[in-house]
Amino acid sequence: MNKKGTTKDRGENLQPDTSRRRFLAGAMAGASVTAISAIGSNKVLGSDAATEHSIKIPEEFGMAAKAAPAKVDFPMSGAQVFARVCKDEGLAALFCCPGNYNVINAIAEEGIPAYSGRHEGAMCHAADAFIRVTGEIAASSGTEGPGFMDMICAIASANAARTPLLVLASNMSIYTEDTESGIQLAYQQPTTEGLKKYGKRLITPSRIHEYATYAFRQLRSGVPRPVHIDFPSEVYRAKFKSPADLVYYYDRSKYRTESRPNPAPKDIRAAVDMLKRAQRPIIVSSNGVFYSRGWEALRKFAEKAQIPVAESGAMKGQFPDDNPLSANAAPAALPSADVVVLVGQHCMPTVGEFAFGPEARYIRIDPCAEDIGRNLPIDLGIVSCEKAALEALAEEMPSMKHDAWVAEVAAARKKFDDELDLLYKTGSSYKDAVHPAVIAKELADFIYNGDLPKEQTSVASGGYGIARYTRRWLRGYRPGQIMNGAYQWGAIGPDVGYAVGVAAAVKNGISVQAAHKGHPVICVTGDAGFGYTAMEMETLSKYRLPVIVIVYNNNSWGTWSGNRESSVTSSLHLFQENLRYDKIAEAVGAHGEYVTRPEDFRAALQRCYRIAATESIPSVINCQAKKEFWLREQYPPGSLGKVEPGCMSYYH
Amino acid sequence: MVRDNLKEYADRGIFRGFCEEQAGKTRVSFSFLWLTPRRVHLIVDTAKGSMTFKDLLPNVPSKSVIQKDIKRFLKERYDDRLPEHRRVDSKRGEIACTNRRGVLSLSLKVKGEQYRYCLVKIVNLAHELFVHLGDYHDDYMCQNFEARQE
Repeated sequence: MNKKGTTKDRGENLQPDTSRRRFLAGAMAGASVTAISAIGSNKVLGSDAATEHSIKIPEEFGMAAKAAPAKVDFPMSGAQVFARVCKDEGLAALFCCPGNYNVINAIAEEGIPAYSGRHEGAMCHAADAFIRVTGEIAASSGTEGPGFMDMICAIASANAARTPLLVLASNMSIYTEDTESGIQLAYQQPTTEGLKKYGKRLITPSRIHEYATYAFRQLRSGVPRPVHIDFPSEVYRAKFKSPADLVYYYDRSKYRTESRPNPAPKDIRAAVDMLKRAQRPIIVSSNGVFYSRGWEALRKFAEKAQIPVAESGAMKGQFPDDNPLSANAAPAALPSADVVVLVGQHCMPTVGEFAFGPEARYIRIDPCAEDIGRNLPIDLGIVSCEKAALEALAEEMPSMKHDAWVAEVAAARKKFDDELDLLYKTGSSYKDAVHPAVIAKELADFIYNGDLPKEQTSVASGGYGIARYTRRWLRGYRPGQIMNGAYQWGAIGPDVGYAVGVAAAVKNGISVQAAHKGHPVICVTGDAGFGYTAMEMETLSKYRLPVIVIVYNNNSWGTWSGNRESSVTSSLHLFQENLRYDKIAEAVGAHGEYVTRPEDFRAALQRCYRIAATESIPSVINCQAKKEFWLREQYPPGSLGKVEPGCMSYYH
Repeated sequence: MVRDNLKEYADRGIFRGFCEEQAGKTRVSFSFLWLTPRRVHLIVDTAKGSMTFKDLLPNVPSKSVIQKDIKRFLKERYDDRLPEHRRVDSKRGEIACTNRRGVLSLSLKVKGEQYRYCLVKIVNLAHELFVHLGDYHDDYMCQNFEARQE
């Protein structure tokens, strides 16, 4: 039986609680600051020597939890001035590796929750994920040269996902530019060309406050993308005796506006006219609905006009999947739509990428006129904040009935559910390894159809081949519930990094995660992906972030099936077989499970969940599969494709 | 009429690079880019009363799993359980699928001068076929239509 939601407040008006004391207290909750080896199957206990060398969380974490934020005032360094703007702007978290010391220390000392991990790229992914499940701004930081370069894939991922990510990196000194003096000199800004909305190498110390405001103006307006600021030492070490030493030292109300573009009334009337004539209209809700916090307006509009809604984008859950109008898991209905309202679809598909048919007409709502009409031809463009447009449509649209169309969507949902049952039945018939359909179905049953409230568990949905299955079963019942990992950029490997960000948001109840604060988080990944960011299991463990990482271990890259014919090259797509990723987890302070039979998966998941919930300890469930599961002729149904938009979508 | 209706898709931006070529006294070949990077060719033959997406799907071995699935999918388009706007009325048009040396063409035999009806149906049929292939045969789409493997 499903449990009902625990709160009526869906978080639209919640502000992030970003105090460092609260964050650290949460991070340490349930965790001993001494030995943590008495977990799961980690069996190093049993002798004094083993205890002495058992995994410990350093006492500095406990001390940090008790420390009050530093009171910083003039005279201030450039780094401190920048950090002050971050604090004033509500920067919700920092994810970094050591480096860019002055800046990250100044940000942490302002009381902004700061997490330090094992790889700048993974921590940058963490920041991206944190933003995608909270709607708040987070920062990522790396040191000069190598640390910054480690973040590139993550910056690109955030850029593709249209994430308002603040990227910070130190950059040696202006004095040594072009000399190759010492080490780690790099031109940073050209490196992020095409991967950001705005970027600046700060060169004039007295303008640091001004450029900090540039950054937040860009992050908090229009269609978001990363902002990249790099700090030469002349700037972050500069000393300012008073505000008078700074050029453009203004209050927030003077350097940016909270005003948002509202739709032109004639555009709303035109949209209403189109929708009144439509027989099978549909709304596609994407990123912009989440970032503008427009989900309540979306629901009112959809329900008033009885228009089904499918989701796409970098996060899901703005329109609950249990609403009778949800078309998220109704792919067969999509080609029937005759008018499609695309709201906040910041990354547009081209013709043919969405399943809507050739007769469909498109209304696109977006805050940026310059993107409207790109890729997909429009019949009506509305320049507006998504929430404002949805409110206007909810107001202007008459109550309508599309009963036949809603029935068609319901029938398509039923058809899809029947297909899922068939996939599970087939998958569970393979007994010598764990089929992806078993993982997907059992996971969905556990988090949605068991004892847990179905809206409780946030998911970092990643992986490649496994994701083609799990996405079909995963559902969103409230904003920020699903972080759509591979969205658009399709990187393999960020998933454990993403889990750090999602778990940090949930652990501290930031923004829309407030009602679900502290609950365990699920991360889905593959063995290829796990290899990239596995060391962040240590980050999860040391911060006591209770994530259950499900690793689909089929001994290969997802590319093997398409490249297996050549005896020369097929080995390029393979790993050693039966690798023990669960042991890696145990080695860094997490719990590990190795599941080799389908019937054992559910019990392992329950054990991991219990450990996560009661001890705040992360886990890896290493699910032993086989690469041949992707071969349709040998193990039907083999690898699966996708239909977008809806629960399967991740390209757009 | 067929020409005007096809051109309307092009004017709306659904078809790109739209052009036509007389391929005989009663045959016109319309060509355009649409769902994939491969140009498609729709041949309308008024003497035979047919519309054909010629060589629509390459590398479909006859009697293969994918060919059987495509034929099943096409047969289902007549199914009364489909909504009317998604169904092909066999009294107005008849679906045919031919495989020549592993290259599959999709046709609709026009009945009773129902050219407009059949044009809309065959265009939508091709669209739905590609949606279906993307869902269940992504490996085929990767290998033949530059769909991304990731």
